[in-house]
Amino acid sequence: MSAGGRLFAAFVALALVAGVAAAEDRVTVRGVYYREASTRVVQPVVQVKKDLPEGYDVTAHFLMDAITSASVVASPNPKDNLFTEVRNETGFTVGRTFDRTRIGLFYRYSHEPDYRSNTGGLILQQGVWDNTGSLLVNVAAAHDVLGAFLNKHLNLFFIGGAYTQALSPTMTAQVVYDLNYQEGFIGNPYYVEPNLGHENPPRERLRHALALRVAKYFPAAHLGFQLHGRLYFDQYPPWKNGLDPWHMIAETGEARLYVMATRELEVRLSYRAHRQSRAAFYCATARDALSDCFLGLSTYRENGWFSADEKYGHLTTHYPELKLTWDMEPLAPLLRFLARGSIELSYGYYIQSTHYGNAHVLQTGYSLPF
Amino acid sequence: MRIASAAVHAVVVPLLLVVCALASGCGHAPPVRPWQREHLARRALQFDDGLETKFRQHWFSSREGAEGGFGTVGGGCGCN
Repeated sequence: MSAGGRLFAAFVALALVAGVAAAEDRVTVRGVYYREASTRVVQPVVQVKKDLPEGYDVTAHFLMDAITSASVVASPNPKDNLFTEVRNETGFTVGRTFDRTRIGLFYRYSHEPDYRSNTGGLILQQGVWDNTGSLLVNVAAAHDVLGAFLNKHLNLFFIGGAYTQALSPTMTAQVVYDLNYQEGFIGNPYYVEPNLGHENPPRERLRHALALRVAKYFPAAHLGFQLHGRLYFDQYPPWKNGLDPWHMIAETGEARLYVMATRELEVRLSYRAHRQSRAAFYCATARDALSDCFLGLSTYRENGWFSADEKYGHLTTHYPELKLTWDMEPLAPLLRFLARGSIELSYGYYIQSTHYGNAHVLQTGYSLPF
Repeated sequence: MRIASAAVHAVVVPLLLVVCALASGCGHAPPVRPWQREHLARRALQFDDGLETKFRQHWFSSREGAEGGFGTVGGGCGCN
């Protein structure tokens, strides 16, 4: 079956799951178009949430990434060589709510020609303080196989906690901490450093992310704002001896302004900025002296660790975006029950300091309660 | 040293402000009564954008070295 056919079949299946009406049930369809100088991504996705009797709930999604990349073919007359890779992902969550506690199990499967990923986990949510606060704990494990011969492995263990609190009738705040342990091939099997060959990243990593978010709404002015901050750092597991080949530190901040332009139309303006230091093993000999590389310092592998993947280097990004969300109620005479939904449209411009260049990001979606 | 400095600037100071705000109301009743919650359902006061957040996790982890901060697991693709 073609990729489009699979998407349609998944949509029909999800629509059948969504047969019986209930207040909190929702179907969402979204699409993304991402365009860089050498990469195009089209990602349609459909998700259905459904409440079931006796406190059960189920969520299912299916998405498809069609990624078209260009690489310059070395020849007397260089030309772009275009290739498209398709990733399919499907996943579901089954949960049950007991009073103020919700327990959920989830599973996700992602498939690319040279990458397979299985992820499963447990979600625990607890309402606290008269349900004005919510504590979420998420524990997950993943096993990936990758490479042209699917002979490389990557294991992931994750634990994350988020606490969200309503501070007043118009103000909320959230604190999040994620800990992520990776073991296996943490790299791209196709990246080649011109003078060193295929990249050889460290085989273990501990990732820490601490985030804080605050939101405030001003009813009289019909506007609100959000501030997001995140600190990230990673390290080689402390139970290992030797120099830390990771030691990447990143700071990310985002500000959002929400304006209710009319009763049905919400305008969101946002700006995100990210900067990070380089991982110690990052090494691009085209720009750096070979003596700056981690190679001579590594005591674990004969050839040392290195990667020229710019994602591991010092970089900055900026992302301004405009998003419109329109509740379609005025179209009720024309669209009937479909007008109970809302439609969203956003455009953003992703500015990168890396060779990937800047990107246009267009997103649209439709969400319908049923 | 760099970790400590970045932590102070990016997270610890705002975190202390929120802790202070929480503490100012923690000794008594919950800060929001059920009949005062009409605005809390607004998108401006929600932090989880659902599929939009999921796409962002995927996208940023393929172009930036950092990941996480949402309380949910990312990854699962050839973008590590």
